[in-house]
Amino acid sequence: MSSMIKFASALLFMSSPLAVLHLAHANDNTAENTAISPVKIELLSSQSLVLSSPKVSDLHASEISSVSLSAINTRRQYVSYVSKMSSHDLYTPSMTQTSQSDQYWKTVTGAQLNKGLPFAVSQTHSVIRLAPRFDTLTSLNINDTISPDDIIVTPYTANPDFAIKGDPINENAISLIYSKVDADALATAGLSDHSSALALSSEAKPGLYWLKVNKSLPSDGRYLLNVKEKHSPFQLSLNAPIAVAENTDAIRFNLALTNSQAPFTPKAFLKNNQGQQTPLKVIKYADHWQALLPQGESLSTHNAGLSEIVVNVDTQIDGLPVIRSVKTAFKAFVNSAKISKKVSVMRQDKQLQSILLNIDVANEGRYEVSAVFTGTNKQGQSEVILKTQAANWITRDSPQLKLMLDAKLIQASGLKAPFALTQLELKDQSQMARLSYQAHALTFK
Amino acid sequence: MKIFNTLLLLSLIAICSSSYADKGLAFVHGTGKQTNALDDYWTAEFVDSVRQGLSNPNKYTVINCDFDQYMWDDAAAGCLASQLNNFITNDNIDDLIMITHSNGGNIARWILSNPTWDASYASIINVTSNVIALAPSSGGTPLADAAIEGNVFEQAVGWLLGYQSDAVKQQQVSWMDFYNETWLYGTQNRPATLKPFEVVVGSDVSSAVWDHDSYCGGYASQVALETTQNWLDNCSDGFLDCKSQNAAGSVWFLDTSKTNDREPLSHQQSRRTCFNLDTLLRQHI
Repeated sequence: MSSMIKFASALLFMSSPLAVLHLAHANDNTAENTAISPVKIELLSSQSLVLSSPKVSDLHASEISSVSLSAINTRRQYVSYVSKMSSHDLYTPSMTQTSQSDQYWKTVTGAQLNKGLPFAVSQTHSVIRLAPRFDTLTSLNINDTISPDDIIVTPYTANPDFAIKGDPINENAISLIYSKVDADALATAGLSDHSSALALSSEAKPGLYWLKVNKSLPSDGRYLLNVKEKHSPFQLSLNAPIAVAENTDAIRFNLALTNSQAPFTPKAFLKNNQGQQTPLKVIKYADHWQALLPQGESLSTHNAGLSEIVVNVDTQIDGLPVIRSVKTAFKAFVNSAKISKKVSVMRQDKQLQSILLNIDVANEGRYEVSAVFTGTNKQGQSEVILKTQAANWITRDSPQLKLMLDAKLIQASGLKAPFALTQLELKDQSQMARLSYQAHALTFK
Repeated sequence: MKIFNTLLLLSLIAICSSSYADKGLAFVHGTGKQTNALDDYWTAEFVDSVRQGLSNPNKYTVINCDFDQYMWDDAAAGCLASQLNNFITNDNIDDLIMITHSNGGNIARWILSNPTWDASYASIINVTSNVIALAPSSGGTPLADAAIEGNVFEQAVGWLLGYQSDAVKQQQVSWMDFYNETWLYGTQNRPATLKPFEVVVGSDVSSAVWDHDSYCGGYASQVALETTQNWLDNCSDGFLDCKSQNAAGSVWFLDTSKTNDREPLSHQQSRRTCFNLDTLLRQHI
């Protein structure tokens, strides 16, 4: 039987340069292919094509490099999924995100809180939150949460004179506070970080104040001071990339402070996915800012989680201090792979079966390719038929990935050639990053 | 002969229907590591009431996984997929409805958005007919940002991780923006989820001490709610802004449009038998 198949194969191959006689499993790395009886012969034809060049609006990288961090998804199985799709499911990925802030936060020490430190509010009814930040570097323990009764707020003077309880100055300070909430109460409302909060009253006008904690705190203890000013007219807005390649020199971002023309000089920080902050040098351009990234240092310490760009602004509006912190998250990634331009469209018995892609990888990993497959209607317009996606463990020795097509869906659509592969996207599931996106990748008949 | 044939046919139909695949219901909890979500997260009263909406009320499962992890983690989505597949196989389910709460909606959406991540996801997607997401944290919550800010996790003490877990990090607003834009379906300008994702939105918290309704599902400190409300929009369930809850999928209903006495559902109440929520779910499935 085997020799008969080989013979038939030879005949078919001779009759058409594109035709190959093909036994199941002869070609690919598909785990889900069902074994086919040795007597069944599949007639496959292969059409070699070249992907179009990416446009400026596409996401692509010409150079690839290796990932040093541990992979998240290490599954070795080939998985393919094809779903019917309609045109309203089409999308173009956004490369940036915007955050707005009417608050600021900073880390202070127990020593600072015990000594007293100045802080600013830009409106009445601001809320102050003090939260211990427990870690192995400091001597804070669970008992070092701060009771709101131990927090004193007094108007700012050049030489603070914090009085003890019962003192006239302290009585004056109490009138600045509208309500107090301790950590247990806040936990019932979904804020479980051992923080205490004070809502300032209408007496606490915009300006500077002193903040002091009466209870003795570990001097090296780290606390978060968070001032929230809901409905403030002064919202700081940050627009920054949602993904940053590890070899990038700078992050471009836009900043705007609503209802203000006041000049400001932002301070920017890179916060990695472990919460560690690195100050960044910021340069102003005509219509945007750039934060220069530290050279030779990784933007991320682990593939899980995200990094953040944090921007602090401290300015004066109509003589009053306005402070804001804002952040956006981004994925720090390595351009670990790219899709080769040469592809093969596979047909089985003249029906479209799959598209074979080659993935150039700097290191092995689990990669997913997805694309939207379209056909042409009687009016000559392009219409969406299906979305196909496939993932596998790709190595340099085994670089192929097969994007399955569904002949029944294509036939049912009534659409004909020319067909097209659009929204071609490559993701690295090992580092959880989108590596490339091409709006229009391939058209063929 | 005709009577015999008819009886034979009816018998066959009865036998077939008893062994036939069926509709099943899975309750998917929110953030936290659950080992007994029936009692500790949902309550038997809620689950037993809702499952009466099934033709066979015994075809249900209550998921117990570690949703303190990132949604894609084996202990989170991997565990959910495993328990759902066991349920599908053992109970011969061919029509699965998931009822999720809070972050459970994100874990379900992860599976519905990433069929190639794991070979076991496709079988779940294929039999799922609907996800009913109760107050899903699709757009994250500013309270997660507030809890995470200032922490340095490399040096974090062990007991803290329950409070500032990977799941809490993940539900920061800008983090969910990234995941929605890159890895999850169902939000604006993104592909639709592979199966319907219907959302119940909680819009307010009734917290007056004189109002009996405030106590349904547990009581939160009124002054604390007033304080945390500073981080939230006016439309929120006390933990999530409405715009976060309806960021993905389609809104089935805003709480006050269907609940008894038009009572709002706080974040705690949207997993309890409060204001006829259980009846609404029972009738919907």
